[in-house]
Amino acid sequence: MTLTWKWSWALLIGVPIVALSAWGLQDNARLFVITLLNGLTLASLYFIVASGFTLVFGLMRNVNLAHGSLYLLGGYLGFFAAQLTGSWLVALAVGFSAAAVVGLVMQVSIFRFMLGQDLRQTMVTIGLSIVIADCLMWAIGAQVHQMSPPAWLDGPIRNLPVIRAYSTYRLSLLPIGIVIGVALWLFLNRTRAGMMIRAGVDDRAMLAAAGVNVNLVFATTFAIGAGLAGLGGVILVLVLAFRPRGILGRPA
Amino acid sequence: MSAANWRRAMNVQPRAQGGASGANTPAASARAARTSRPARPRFQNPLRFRHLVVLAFLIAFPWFATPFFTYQIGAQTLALGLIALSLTFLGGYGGMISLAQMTVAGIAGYMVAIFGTSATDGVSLGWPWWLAVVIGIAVATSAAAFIGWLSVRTEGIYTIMITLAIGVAFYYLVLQNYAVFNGFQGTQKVFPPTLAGIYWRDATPFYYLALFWALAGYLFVVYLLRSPFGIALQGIRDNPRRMHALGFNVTAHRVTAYAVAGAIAAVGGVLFTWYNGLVTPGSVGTSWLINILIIAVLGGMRHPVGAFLGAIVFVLLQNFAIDVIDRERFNLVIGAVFLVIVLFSNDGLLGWWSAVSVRLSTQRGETRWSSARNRLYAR
Repeated sequence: MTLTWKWSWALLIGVPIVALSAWGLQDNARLFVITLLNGLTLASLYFIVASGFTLVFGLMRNVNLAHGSLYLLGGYLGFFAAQLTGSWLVALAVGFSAAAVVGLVMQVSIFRFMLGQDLRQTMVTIGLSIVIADCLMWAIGAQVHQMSPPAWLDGPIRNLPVIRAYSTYRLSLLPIGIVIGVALWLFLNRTRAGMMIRAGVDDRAMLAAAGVNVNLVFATTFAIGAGLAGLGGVILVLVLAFRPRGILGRPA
Repeated sequence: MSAANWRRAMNVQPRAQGGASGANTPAASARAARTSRPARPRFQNPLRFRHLVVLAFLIAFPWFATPFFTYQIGAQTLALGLIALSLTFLGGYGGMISLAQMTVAGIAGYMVAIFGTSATDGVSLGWPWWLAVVIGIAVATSAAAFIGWLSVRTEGIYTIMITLAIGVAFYYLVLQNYAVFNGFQGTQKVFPPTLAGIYWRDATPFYYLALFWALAGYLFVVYLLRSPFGIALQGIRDNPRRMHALGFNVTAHRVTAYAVAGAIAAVGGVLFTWYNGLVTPGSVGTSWLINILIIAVLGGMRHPVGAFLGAIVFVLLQNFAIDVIDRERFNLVIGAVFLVIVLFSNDGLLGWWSAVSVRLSTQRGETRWSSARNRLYAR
């Protein structure tokens, strides 16, 4: 694509967006900014959940449609951990590690035996997500769970210029998402472990020949990806209502 | 598809074997003279005894089954099997797993409800039933071709994703559009007509209606798979680049496959709508999109009959999971059965069947290899 083409595409998409934004700002600035912030924070939340999927699918070519179940599991366990201990950080840690452990078990017991079989992985993980969602429903029930954020994130920030007030917790999602994104990028591009993961994706046999335990590297990657789903679940429990639905929206 | 089947389908004769070396002996020349007329392709009757048994059972089924079994189990199995058959054709023989088959079926159902008669007056136009059915199938087939045209350039998991996205988009369209689709409530009382003095919603007539179309769809797919189009489609599934190099239009074949599968799914969709007596957004929701995939994979995708096998298992589980375990735990049962089958069989119930028959014939003294080879050539 030539530069002219790029520019014309950018103009074609950019000009209407800028024009509509200007119109929205002029018409009802408060509503526009609040909607924009709602969109950005929700996107940030989805990013946290999806980054784990990207890590697993984008790097390892491993289709994990049960990712939503891991996120559900992390959310529930985080919720109960917070109820028991009263600490939000403990909830995050529990959600992350529970999902990571389940993801590790899935990688070691199932995915290791179907490398490169996209469709089979899809089927198996659809089956898993149905079973896990229904088991959680059985164990916990269908009522909606929601918990309040820690005291230092509770309540609104007041005295903002245009919108006057906005939920602190929702706004904090934005930096959390950015931090996780940057940390993942640094981990994959600037550390030795990240280098191993990328090398393993390119040429598994060569990396094994270089003396690296490939299975361990892949299992770790999978655990981190699954853990991020659990982390997203705990964060989401605070924002939105939470009840058992698989990633495919199948009402369990 | 073996070489022998391929030749039969393409009407090509294998070159006379050993003719050059043994042609000088009198016996050989006599033999050559006897067989010199252009031999027709050897006709192999594909009908086996087991086919007749199954057919007799299917026809006799309503005579000894209760109306519940005839309608709730039998007719539902046949209608769902027909929709799953379209996915088996598309996925097993075209290599394209589409989750939008239930969407296509739902479009046909919605069109029948909108153009025909239903209890929802503001929505239905009240045209004659046959016109509504024809329009429904035509619209659904065009929609399927359009879905195919959108998704043929993707492969594997991405095809699943894009067809899932289309299916979810249609779900939200019918959920939120009240002017045409009547939103959340959908349309109620979409019933088959009374024709030739028979009310086709009654258990036995509806069963035979479903059986007729299921058999027609099954035979059509079996025939199509041996036609040049079917052979080319399987070639494209196995190696699209080579087929392209051989001069086949890969995209056109794939889109056509989507359209053909769409027509089959549309017939199944009309039957399923009549079976339910209603069509709502719930009947094109994600759980039904996945259910069709579950049915096709449960049965196995290496033969069209797998779709109906899967439908039998699915419908039986759906109706009797209550007796096995709690009423609410149907999803757990169907999910667990699905999981076990995809984990331990490479092709659903048919995969197990062939594994068992290989083992049996191995015990009869054939080697494992020869029996596998015979099975391959028998297909």
